[in-house]
Amino acid sequence: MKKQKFNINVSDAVILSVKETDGGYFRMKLAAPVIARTAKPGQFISLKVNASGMPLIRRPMGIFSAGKGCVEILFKAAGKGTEILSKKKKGEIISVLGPLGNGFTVREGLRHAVLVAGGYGVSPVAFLYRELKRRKINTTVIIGAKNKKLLYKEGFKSPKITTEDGSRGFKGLVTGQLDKACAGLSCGTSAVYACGPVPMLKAVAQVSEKHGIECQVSMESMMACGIGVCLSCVCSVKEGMGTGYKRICADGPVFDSREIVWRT
Amino acid sequence: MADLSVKIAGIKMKNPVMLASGTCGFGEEFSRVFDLNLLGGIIVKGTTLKPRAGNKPPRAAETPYGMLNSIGLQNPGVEAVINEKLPFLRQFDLPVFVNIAGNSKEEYAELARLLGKAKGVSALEVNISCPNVKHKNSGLFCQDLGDVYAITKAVKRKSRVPVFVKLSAEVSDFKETARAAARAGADGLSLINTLRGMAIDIKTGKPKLANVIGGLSGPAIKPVGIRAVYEAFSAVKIPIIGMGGIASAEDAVEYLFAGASAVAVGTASFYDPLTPFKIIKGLNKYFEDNSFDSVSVIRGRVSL
Repeated sequence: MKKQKFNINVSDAVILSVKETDGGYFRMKLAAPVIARTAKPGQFISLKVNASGMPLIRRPMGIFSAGKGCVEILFKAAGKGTEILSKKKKGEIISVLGPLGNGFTVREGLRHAVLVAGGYGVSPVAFLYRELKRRKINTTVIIGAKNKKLLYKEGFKSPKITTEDGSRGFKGLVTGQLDKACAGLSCGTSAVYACGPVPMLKAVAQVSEKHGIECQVSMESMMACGIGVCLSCVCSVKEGMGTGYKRICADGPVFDSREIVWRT
Repeated sequence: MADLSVKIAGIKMKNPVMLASGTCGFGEEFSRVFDLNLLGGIIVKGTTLKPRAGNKPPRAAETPYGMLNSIGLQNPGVEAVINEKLPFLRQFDLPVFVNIAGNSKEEYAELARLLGKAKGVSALEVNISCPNVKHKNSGLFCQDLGDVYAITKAVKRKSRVPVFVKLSAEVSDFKETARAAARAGADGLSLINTLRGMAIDIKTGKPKLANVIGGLSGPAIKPVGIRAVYEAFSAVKIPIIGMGGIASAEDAVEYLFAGASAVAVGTASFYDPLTPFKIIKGLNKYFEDNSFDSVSVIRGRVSL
């Protein structure tokens, strides 16, 4: 038989640091050299927040950064799993599975990228931002939040901020800024990359499509396995003349926006 | 190293640890995480005559020590399984059980005929206990003794490989159900399928699953599985593959004591993909520590 390729790793990682940061987010750094070596922007890891017992199921987390033997995540204590995660201490051990999913595609010849992050979606977008900078691709960043208290903007150079209540930056949704950013971009050499809540992704896709610009959206869902076997985390996609389902964890989480059948 | 090898219905396995249907796809994904050759066997995803898209999401919800799912037998259909999935699995030294699901005994028989001709199928597992597809009385096939007998008989008539019948513990008389399958010629039983359950989101008042009701799996259902295997072991002579909440070597040993000849890991491999290997290692230690020569030493030997 052909040589086997084990490119998903499961291992116990040491927590190197947990810090509370901008907008009530937590940043956790893990020693995970095998995952750090191959992880790319848009991929995720899945964490067993308690070694045994509840919660039983792993929690998927977008990768914020990867390199030098470490993987970082950025999250909010929004539920039981992330609450436990936020209270972890340096030196504790946690089981990590990854890297998972396909990640963003940066095509040859891309000259201008527009990144749109809403809420927690900022984590994979930050990873992609640094990669695009390294490749010297012109990048516009749009970050949206409900209000200034929920905003994470660290590490981005002059991002366009929008808040729904107008407490920081432009008042309103990200789509207004996106529309302006897309105007004048050439379709063949530009792309929009977005991560955030589904209604935002849908709106971002519509604006991008109006301008004829390729749009990659990173979807999220509750996941039981994270590797594509359980078929829990599917989303609706166009398939031939009809629709079908694709796994967000294994076929995504990044999809071409034109493929998605949006449900609101 | 203890000798963990087992032979069930004539099928030789290196050890009694398998992957349960519906939790391992057709092996491709887990082959990226570990060496499938180390497993005792694999029971692949429920296969139907035609491709099935499956149920609407959300399809899963976490519950105390378990989870609910209502995948709805999403699979590419028997033709794609034979042409695209089985060739991949043939690369491995691994007994492959194909789980089959139909809407009538004729469909089950046709699946058995098609898969019987296919290369690389060690056995069939007849799924007459899926909680996520609709049947005539919106119940499970295995809740009707006549259906259990007729479907098993129809599959046996067409199949060239051993036939295992997968039952649910949600029947009024479990021993009678097991006997009906055995009388129809089943070569073995797979016990148990998920148990029907429901969860409600109290913020919205809506069910957590789009399908409303789903199948409960995970450690929460282990005692039900142990009971089913124990009852079936006393009722029939055919071998039993025990499954339902197995997450450790201790759980596997418990199933062996109850009467299982082999075990299958399901939900636990979602949260820890290396569970099967932890079980194999733990079984080795348990058999060595107790100086047991083989799995058969403890099979069904619960002392009352």
